[in-house]
Amino acid sequence: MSLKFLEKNASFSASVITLAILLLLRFTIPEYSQLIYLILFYIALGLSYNVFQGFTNYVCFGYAVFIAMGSYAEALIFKLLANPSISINPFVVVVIGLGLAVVFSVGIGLVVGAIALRLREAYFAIATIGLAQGMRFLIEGFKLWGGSEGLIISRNIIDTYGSSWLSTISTDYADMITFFAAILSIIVTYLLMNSKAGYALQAVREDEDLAKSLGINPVKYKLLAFLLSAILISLVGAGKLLKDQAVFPANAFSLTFTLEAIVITLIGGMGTLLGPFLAGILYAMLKYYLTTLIPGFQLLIMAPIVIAVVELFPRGIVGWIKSKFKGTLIDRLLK
Amino acid sequence: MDIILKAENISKSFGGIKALTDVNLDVHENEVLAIVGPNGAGKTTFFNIISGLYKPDTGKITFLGNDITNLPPYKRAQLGIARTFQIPRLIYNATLLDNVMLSSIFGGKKDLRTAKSIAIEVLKLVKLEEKANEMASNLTSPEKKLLELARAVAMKPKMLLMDEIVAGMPPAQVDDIMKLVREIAIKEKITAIALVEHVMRAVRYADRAVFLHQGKILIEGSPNDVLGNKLVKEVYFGEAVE
Repeated sequence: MSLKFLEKNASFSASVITLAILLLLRFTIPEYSQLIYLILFYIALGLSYNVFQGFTNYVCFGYAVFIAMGSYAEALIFKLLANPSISINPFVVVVIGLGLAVVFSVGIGLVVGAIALRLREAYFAIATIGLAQGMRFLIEGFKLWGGSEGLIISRNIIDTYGSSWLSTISTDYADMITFFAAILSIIVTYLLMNSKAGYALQAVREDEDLAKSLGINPVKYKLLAFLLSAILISLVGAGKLLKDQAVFPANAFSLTFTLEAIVITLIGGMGTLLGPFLAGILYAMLKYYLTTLIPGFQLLIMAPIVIAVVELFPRGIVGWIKSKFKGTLIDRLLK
Repeated sequence: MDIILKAENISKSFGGIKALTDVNLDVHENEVLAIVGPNGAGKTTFFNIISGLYKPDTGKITFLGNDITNLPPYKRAQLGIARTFQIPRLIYNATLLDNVMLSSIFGGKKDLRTAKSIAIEVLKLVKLEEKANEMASNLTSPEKKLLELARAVAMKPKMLLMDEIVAGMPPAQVDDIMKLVREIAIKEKITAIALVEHVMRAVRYADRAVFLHQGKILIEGSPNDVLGNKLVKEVYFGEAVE
């Protein structure tokens, strides 16, 4: 195995192996399952978001819309197909729901991206602020998809598959979908880093006018990153629906997910693979233990930690280690 | 000689300031053209209009027979217009190799493998091949200019726009770089426009020169004629016109 090969693949392999270990723990030690779900959720959230912000340097404050769309897509399919009169295997229903989640996220991503991604960084961020709230008011105002009462699928599951399926879907299915989203976001990040698109995005991120004069169409590549990011996170949203078995506009469009995604990306290191991956794990563990140790105070403790890390390591943890060991093997191994 | 680029009646204003007024300029195949003029003459504006970063208020630009007036910069780059910037604009946290590969992949439409071999070739041309794997941020100022040149050449362009490539360099280095530019232009079959400001030494390497002053082309001719012109001398050195 050559050194070049190792440099290219070490971080990718390490994160995939870590995920595999997490999955193993999930199935061997049942009491860890809630924690492991959270870890998978935040790895996937951070890495999906990083595919956009990390590769383009653009901030999207409306990111929650894609999580919500994933949840709604899965809920709509359950409402439609989990029905005693049509007996479709629940796994097939889940997969169709994932398909609709992709369709929704690509649809909204294309419309928003094609318009707003022509704007430069800060203007784009401002333009997206209204996105999540706008969708929420659309659903509530027009009483679309259950309006403000949301969609609850537990009844459909019980009536169609029996009550034993409630926990199967909210544990095994939800965890596997989130695992799938996490591993996919690792693969997408790795592919982006080693492709033509990765080169283009690096140039666009550093200097958009320069990128144009080198023959790069910035909107095309920003849109690509935006859509990939939207698709990945919509899968996480679908997994979340299976976990909660309900989706309510007030929670689904909450700014919390967007802020968590930004925090994980920044703490870990924008544009790196290991950064959001490790920060996702850390964030999930902090959140899990703080919630159980001192319920209600987790945000109070979390906020200063976030501020301290961002202040001390402006390029994130992995970015900081890389710059500490600039030019050495460690720098080249950490991707 | 065939005309490769034709700029007709180009005007551009910024607010109330007229940066360019009815500029007409033909650039011929296989020539090195120098655009001379003092600060604020409109040279960089003209460059930005040709490369597409600015849209002209009036006028038309034709490149290799195609009207490119409304084409975005990235399409012009793909058609074969490469440029360097007055103040080098590099991807500073990427290696020299990656910087050069970028323009070959996108401007030159090459796959990664071909782009890499072109990049190594071009870095050899400007004698930066030993630093290929260093970060662009480690380079000295003249090296940054050379990297910009290498990056532009790696696109295999038909026309190369160089904005102040030798500004701030000692005379010997000006000679080296201008000789290199001519050498590359012949080897790679590139029509080159060298844009120079105060570096008269570099203008002498051009085949033809135009003098741009207050947004208008006033004089056109051989470098010696243009540099020897009374008006040019007056503008540069403040000599009285007799």
